[in-house]
Amino acid sequence: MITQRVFMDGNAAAAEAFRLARVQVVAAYPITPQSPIAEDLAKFVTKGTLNAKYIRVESEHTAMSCCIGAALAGTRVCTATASVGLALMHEMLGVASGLRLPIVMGVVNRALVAPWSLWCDHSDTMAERDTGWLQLYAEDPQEVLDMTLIGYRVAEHTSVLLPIMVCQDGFFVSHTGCAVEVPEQKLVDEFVGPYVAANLKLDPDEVMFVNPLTMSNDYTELKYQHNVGMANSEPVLEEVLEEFGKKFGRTYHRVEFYRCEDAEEVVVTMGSMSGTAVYTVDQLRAEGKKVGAVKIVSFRPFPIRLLQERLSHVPRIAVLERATSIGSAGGPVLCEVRSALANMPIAVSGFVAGLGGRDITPTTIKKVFDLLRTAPPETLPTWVDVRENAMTIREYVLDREVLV
Amino acid sequence: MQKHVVTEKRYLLGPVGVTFAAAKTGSWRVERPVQDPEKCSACGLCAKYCPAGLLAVNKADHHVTFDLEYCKGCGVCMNVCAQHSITMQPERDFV
Repeated sequence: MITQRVFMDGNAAAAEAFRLARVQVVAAYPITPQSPIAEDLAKFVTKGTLNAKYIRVESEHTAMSCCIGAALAGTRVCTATASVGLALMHEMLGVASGLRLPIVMGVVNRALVAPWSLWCDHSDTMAERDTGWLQLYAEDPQEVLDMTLIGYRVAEHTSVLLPIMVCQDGFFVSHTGCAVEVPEQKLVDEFVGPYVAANLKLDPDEVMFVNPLTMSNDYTELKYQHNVGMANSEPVLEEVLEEFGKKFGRTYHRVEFYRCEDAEEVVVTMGSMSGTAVYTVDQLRAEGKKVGAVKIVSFRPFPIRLLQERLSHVPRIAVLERATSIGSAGGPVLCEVRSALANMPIAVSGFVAGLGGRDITPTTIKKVFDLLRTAPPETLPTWVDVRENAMTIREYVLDREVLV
Repeated sequence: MQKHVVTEKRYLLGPVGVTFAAAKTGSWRVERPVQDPEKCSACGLCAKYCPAGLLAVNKADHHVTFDLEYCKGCGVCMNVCAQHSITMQPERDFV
């Protein structure tokens, strides 16, 4: 097997994966921190290293619309976006998944507005968690490349037929270079295979009217089909991950459990903070503390049974997340983990950190473990890295002249 | 009746800037406008064309005043003056 080790960041890895998957149509609109993906793909098309049609769109809403049209026309498509770009796509995300189109989209996680931010948190993809897309979270550029290839296999599987977001943390992954093993094109061709439109399509030989108005007598059933597709994606994802491991020598799981077997406290993470959690767990283990870390790779479908099987013995679990759900009982990941473990005698506590690009350091994670061990469990999440003076950071002083 | 300064202090919520260290744009200036009232006809073109509205023309004595706290020294006033009564002079001469 000829693999090249190339120094690339998460954005370059995403673009390279789309090239290796031989996408035929690209429709992408640049947005920080995703722009290099859109630029790299444009370069590939110009140089002729990717034989694809590049549609220069005027918005993310149009990017997704073009992907939908191109996928219906029978081509393998890709796009990529971030933050408010993803939010602008919202309407079309539901169309893509409802039409059962196997689109793969790179999402470079960036905070939503306001406050304006260019930096990482998960609020953008969390806001789209109910659009019926699969969501995988990559921890490093290698995972971005691999998950994108895996994404096409899962999305295009005839028992799934759903679009998928391959998410990576803005800047922490998208702009951090490391050595990435880029597989040989021949191997990728064998793994991904050619695209065949298997379901809805725009084809003069097989005439159909796609997405007509659906009355209440059929709407529920069509939604149920969507639900079954998502349920089917669990075993399919498992199979594809295993096959990928055999073919490329890198084995992934829907959830990664680290030193959880005898753990008394476990922290659940997603994305780039997971490596920091593993590092911190090793440090605390060296001090004799029985701690472990869980990395959720597949947020959609949410790995309910895996968490139930592998965490049933853990008395205290912390969910550390880079998103909030203001007004809710917890952040999105906390709510999912809690309901997955609802009937077990486990205290699940939530911790919010790393918003708008704030670094999640070993100190943050140690604090989470400390609170988990010492403080009584709270229903609402703890904002673990908020500054104490949060309510008074914008002091406004005004001198007014008055006549007395 | 006497003038008093009353200091008001409150805490704003949400993303907002409250310090304006760089707001006085006069600090950007490398040349400043200098006017000669002898040549001025008090037509008022300079005041009309100043992009920041910083000029005041005294119609009686033909003196033009510039708000140098904000004047960036762009030279538009010098350019529009038909009487050539405004010249731009290096800021270092005034230090």
